[in-house]
Amino acid sequence: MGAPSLPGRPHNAYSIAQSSKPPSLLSGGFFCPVARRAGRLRDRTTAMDKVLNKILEEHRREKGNLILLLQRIQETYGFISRENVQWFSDRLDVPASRFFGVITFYPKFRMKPSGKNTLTVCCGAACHIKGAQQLLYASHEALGLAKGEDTTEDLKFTVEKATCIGACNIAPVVILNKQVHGAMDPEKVTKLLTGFAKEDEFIGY
Amino acid sequence: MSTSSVEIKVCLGTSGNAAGGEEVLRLFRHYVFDRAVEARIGTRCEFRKVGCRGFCSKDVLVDVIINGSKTTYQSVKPIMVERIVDDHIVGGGPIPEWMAGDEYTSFHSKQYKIILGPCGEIDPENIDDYIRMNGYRAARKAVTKMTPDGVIDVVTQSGLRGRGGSGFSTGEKWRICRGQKNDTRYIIGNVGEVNRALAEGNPHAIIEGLLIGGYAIGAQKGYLYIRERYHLSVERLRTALDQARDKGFIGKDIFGSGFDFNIEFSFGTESFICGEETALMESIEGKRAMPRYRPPFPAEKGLWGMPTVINNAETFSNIPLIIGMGADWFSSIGTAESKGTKVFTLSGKVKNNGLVEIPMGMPLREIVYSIGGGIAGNRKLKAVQVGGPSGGIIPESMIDMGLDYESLRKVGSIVGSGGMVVFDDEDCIVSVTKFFVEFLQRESCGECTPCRIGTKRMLELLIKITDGTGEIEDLDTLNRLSGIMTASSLCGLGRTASNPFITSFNHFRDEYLAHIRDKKCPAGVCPALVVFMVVPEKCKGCGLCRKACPAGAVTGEIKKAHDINQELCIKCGACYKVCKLKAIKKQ
Repeated sequence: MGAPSLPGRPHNAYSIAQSSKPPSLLSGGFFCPVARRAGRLRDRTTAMDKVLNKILEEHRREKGNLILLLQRIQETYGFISRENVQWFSDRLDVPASRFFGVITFYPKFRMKPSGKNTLTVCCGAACHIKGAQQLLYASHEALGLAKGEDTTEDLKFTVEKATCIGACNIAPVVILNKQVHGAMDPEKVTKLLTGFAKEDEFIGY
Repeated sequence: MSTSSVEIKVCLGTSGNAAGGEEVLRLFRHYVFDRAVEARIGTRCEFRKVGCRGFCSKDVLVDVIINGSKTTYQSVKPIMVERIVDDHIVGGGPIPEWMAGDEYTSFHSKQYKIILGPCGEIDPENIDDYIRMNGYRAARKAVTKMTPDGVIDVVTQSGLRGRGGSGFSTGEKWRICRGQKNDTRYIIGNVGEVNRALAEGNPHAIIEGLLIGGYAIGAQKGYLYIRERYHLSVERLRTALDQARDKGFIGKDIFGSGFDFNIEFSFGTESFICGEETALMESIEGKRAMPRYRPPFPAEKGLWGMPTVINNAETFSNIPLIIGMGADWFSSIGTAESKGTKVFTLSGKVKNNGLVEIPMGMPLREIVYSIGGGIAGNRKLKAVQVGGPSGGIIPESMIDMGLDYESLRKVGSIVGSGGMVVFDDEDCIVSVTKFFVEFLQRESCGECTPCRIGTKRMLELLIKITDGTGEIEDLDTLNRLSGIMTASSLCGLGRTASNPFITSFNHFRDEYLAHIRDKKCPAGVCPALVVFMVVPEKCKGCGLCRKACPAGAVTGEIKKAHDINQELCIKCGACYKVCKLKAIKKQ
């Protein structure tokens, strides 16, 4: 469906470069045919380097740690690509394995691009017994996500699970882009998502 | 502050926001301005956004205080604002049908709010509100008039124990840290799930507590460790910190005493293991949050190898009160061993969900029935789970026990994070246990073998039981596993991970046996063991269930008894929920 993903290939920045349009700064890698043909390869890499250098500078100035660095990368790009890890690993002289160790330890770090909007479904104990699982099903259905996927193909939505977010008294809870919605049920989630998708489009054009 | 005044307080905690509190406040401002209300009644109207007052199931809560007499409205929707302004503020007549009823009164009357009290009264984004109610006076007293050891003495005498879970004496912890030879020391405030309301409703209390703690142990730097996802808490704490810095309460030469102290944020990520103090320090240092071996304890060798005190935000909120009101006052609350109050998040199947603060030792029954208002839908109480995922499950027969560190330990539970989930007879205890073990298995950091593999095996066995393929021997295996994990895990997560199973097995053995021997789920929850059927005599053929069924398994003509095709049924229970005639039964 949609994006021509190659079987067995890791879902990295390269495969995104082919599927998403317009190509982002990230996609200006050596293998990106569009960038090469346009002859803008150097511009693009420098543009990306500029962003990364800024992060690196901040990191050095604040004597920050790996988690903060990774948070900043994720804030900038929405996810952490292997290329970015390599870039920092070379410059900071920290083995890439240590980066990946931290990335894979904390569930909030992503190595796949995330959608423009994020729906977080709380799956803590209080939300669980009030039907958080049903909310997950409903949101997957409303967005047409298959089991195991978490981001729509048009990169508009990401659905993620959270452990307790501390709003147990209004369980079950979902968070849509920082806005907490309490006492949800599957219908309300569906309404929220479809309503939001429409609104989003309306503002977008 | 004159005799004639109008004050409007809108609850804007997380759930107040979620219920549309922001819009309600905006509309109040709009109507008061638009109708020139202030000119008409001849007095100024003050608007105040306040933190959560706990009664979240009836949000948005609005207080209208005219000349000192307070009226509380519950479930205020934006559309109701206009009438409140017209009838009450201008007309002077409160609107009885929207006022908070008996539930609100009974919810609050049994509580003892010493640290949650100001939440809901003061504006958390305004430091002057906090100062007006004696804020930062305790810090001033501690820093200018007391010695660090004097502060520690008072805290020790008060009997305050860590609210984060282990229940270690706070004063003792501080004393150990102060006794270390290093010059650099750190103090960390962990803002966890339950502290969210505190951070949103009264952030200055946490900061003041941290400041006093820093002075007592001789730290130069404090950290506020908070999950990034708690946007509102982070925002309010940040505002509070900036204001405190502007006033000179944080920074160099505090209160002219020569004491320097700074507070920084450290943004945690969503990991349950980060509640463990050594794992939390690893996380601040930017590494994988894996617990360290002990000893040395953090108070001896903690963050960056320096002596460190870690306390929960709730513990810190108690500190200004203890310093301000004295150790005797504090130790007069609670039981012999457990002093003070504890905040619990009451959730699950009770009528009044919310945040409650009770004196230590209050019987569980009172919390569920008086404060919680009983079980929703008038069903039967089955059990209460106290202490977050690794707490124990307490059956209905034992709910007369008091809640304090010792009694909870006796029944195999912990105070833990202060989570309290109430289950009714529609909840399957085996399935609930499975849920908790699944959570703990996912959150296990993988450092030590008993926890990493133990939780996994435990989960597999519980899945087997709920799938209807369990055998009697599995229960023995589970018991043996629990023993090993409790005895040999590295940190608290592994040691308490078996609590849900042990307690539920002890008190609900029949339910486990029903799953294994009879292949039945008495509560009708486990999908593999339940069958949904139509009772033809009761079914009037309204078609609700047919429409609700996502799998198209319900068939039948209108006004004739329907039928469920068992092969298509996915056992979601949607038909059971929509049927108004109770014509669908679970078996």
